[in-house]
Amino acid sequence: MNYYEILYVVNPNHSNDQVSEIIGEVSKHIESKKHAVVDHNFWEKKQLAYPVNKHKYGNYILLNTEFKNSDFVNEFKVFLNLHKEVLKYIIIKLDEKPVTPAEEAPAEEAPVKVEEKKEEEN
Amino acid sequence: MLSSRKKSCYFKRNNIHEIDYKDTKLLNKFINDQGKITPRRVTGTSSKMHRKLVTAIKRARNIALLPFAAIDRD
Repeated sequence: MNYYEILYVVNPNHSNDQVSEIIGEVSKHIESKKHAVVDHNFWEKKQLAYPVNKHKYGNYILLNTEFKNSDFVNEFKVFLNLHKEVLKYIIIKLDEKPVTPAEEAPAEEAPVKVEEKKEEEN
Repeated sequence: MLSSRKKSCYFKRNNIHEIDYKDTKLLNKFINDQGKITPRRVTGTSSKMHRKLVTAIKRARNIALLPFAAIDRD
């Protein structure tokens, strides 16, 4: 089991619907090979630090995945290279399972409760 | 004066252990107008964190979040 964080840039001229279509397409490709998608969301539309394929802006999409074997990384790179809408991508291997925002929220609440109890005792 | 106040590591002061390449606000503090990485002797970061900082900046450059070289328009 290997966790990967992938950030890729797609064409800035696309509407939100077209971007979500691309997200679905990429997720489908991963799931068809029986690997898991942990988190896959549109991140931000940002100005690029330098022009890429004559584009000044880019739609950034953040993807967290869990690949069963590392061989799939090379296969996935080929998929992204051949995808017409993907301008740039970066794949980073994570040491631990990524924390999704939903999992993070309850953890923050717990320490607050402990503090309240201490005040009552005093 | 021979020695001025000793610089301290920004990351140690703020209790930061990992640097995310997506956090451009933080990384922008450690590059100059040209887009170059400021040396450790200027910023005072510890060598451990500077190594992490350098990889984060290089990753951000790769995905066009930070410039390789900023164009001087003046």
